[in-house]
Amino acid sequence: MAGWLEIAGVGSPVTVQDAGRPGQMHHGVPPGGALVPELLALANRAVGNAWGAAALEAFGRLELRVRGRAARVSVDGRAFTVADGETFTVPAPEAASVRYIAVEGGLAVPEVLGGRGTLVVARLGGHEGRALRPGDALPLGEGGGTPETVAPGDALDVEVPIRVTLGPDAERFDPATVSALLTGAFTVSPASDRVGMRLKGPTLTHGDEGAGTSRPMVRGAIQVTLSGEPIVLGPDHPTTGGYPLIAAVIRADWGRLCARRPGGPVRFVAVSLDEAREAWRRHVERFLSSSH
Amino acid sequence: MTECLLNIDLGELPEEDEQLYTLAHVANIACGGHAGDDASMRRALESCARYGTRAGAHPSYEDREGFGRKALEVPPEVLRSQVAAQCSRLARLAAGQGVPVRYAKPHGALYHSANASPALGHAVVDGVVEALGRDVTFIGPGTGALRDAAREAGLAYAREGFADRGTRPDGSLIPRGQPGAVLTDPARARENAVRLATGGTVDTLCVHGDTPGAVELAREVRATLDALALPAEPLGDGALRLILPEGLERRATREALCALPRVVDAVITEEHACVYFDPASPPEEPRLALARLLRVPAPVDTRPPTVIRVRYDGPDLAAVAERAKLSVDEVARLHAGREYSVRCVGFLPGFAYLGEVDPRIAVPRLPTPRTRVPALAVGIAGGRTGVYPFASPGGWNLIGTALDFAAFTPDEGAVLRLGDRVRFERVV
Repeated sequence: MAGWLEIAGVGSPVTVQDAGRPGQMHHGVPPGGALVPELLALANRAVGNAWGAAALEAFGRLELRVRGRAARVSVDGRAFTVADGETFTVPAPEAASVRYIAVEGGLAVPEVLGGRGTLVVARLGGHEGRALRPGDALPLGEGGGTPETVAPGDALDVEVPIRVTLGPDAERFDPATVSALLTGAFTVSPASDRVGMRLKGPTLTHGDEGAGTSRPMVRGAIQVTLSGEPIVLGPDHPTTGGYPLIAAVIRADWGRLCARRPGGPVRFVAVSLDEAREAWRRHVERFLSSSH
Repeated sequence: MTECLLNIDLGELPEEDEQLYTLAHVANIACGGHAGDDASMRRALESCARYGTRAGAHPSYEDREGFGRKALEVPPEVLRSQVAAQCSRLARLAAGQGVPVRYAKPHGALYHSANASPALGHAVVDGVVEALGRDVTFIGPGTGALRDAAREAGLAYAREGFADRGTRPDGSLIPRGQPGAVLTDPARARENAVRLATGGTVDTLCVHGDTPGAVELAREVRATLDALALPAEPLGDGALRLILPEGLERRATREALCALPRVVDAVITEEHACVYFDPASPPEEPRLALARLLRVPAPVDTRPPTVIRVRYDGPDLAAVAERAKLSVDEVARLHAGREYSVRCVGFLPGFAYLGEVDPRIAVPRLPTPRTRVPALAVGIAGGRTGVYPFASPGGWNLIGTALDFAAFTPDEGAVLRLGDRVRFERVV
């Protein structure tokens, strides 16, 4: 029977997000995807969904209602049953920067360019390409998968250093600046969003006047502005850019970094490409592949 | 990885194709032992000078009838003086033409017998040193007496592989005269070149100038080596940033890279091509796709130019005119007066970087970007112009507004594609 998830009240921005839309960068469309893929996976798998099914990504408190049928709902992996017509409250995130609310069957918003997530800058995907408002109703898909419990382990531990591979523009920075990145204590700036996370901390000076032509970018790349402020590119990053890249956060640590709240501590540690790839293989086994 | 050089045995045949000198990094010039005389050496050295090819000596057993292909009984001391005499002859001619001789490689049977015997190996190396000095890179087999002797003599040594010779499963060469000994199919030579150049056990590849179809083989191998020498920088653990070689058509390049197994996406920017992939399964050597395009450019379908109507009413129009010492009207006329092509699609969905802007109005981007540029604003930054598809922050000089133009649709993605032609039509 058709079901709907209705937005009854919104505290801070909330959008539909999923596993992203890889392969569209050549259209200028960033990869998207959940800020914290591990939490999305926990939420989805607790109600039997594929890890990357469309769910809500919320920065604040939410009031929701299920219409048309009862449904299993999970918030960051804690699952419960909601009756048809029942309103429930999701408190603002406490430990992490965001929460994910998954409903059994997933949110059946239309797929656009290979993904269902919202890209606000292009008014694309999700529900009308925008953040959700009270009164919006999102269709639910067919459920029936086997719920699974996934333990986050240390994947979201705020004390664990963030692993990076150095470069590719390391030659634009002197060794002292690279050393400042790897030894400095940074904190997450409140001026962070899905486009990029700004970091407060040591200034990373470089001689690049920024007049260079646009170059390819990737989520996790750490670009350094003219003022020496590092910005870690997020899922909705511009697909090309001109600032030099001192290092890139390894894919296994994208969520570990983006889960940190404004003011949260960030330290970096350099790893080899082989270590990064091995970490990603283990990460996929743990979070992003299910047993069914 | 240091660059793997292509060396070609040259100066051996009267009807030799001069293109081989443009394809070789190093020309091993026959210096009288198995082939070659003063006239052929002069011609070879002239070609080296003309095309910037590095010259090397190619001494041999003294056996012109047998082309140096048969091992002869020559005492080491005699061999040493024969090698020295041959190399000196080339060096004298080269000095007269101002061409340095910095490489040496023994030919044919001598290559193999000197490598199997420490006494002969030393004889060849000593003869080379006597004639050419120690500022020489000796080209020879990966292991054996020649390498040992060259090292003892303090010479640089380049381990050689043969792009045009078949190998047995154990890696040894199939002897000449047996089936599969010589590869004449360019595709097989290319595969062989990739295997050898990326295997880490050779520093230089050889194509024999007398192999049938040598020019085509050499072109194949050179393009492969050139592509493998392009800088490739990891961009995090899931992307590889390549320097875009001159002269490659942008859209065909992107399509060729995207078609590779395990490549999820490919993006072309002004100076780079970037491939994206799952960190757990990186693609094999994407640069080889560029090598294919360098050899055989892909046909490109050209569409008629897209015409975008523009009202020249941007907030920076007056400042651009002032900076260019032109009237506002003149700026609009220059902007709308030429055809552009799409150099890059990126930044925002559907944003196309168009070039070249007339140099008179190619003003640099704003010192401080605007926090909000309206959708459809037409901007200039340096030699590029473009239309903002969506409202966003931006640092380009805004000179106008595009009318009735959708740069991006959710079904099709970016409307303008790499290489597309674009004209602006002025609406007053």
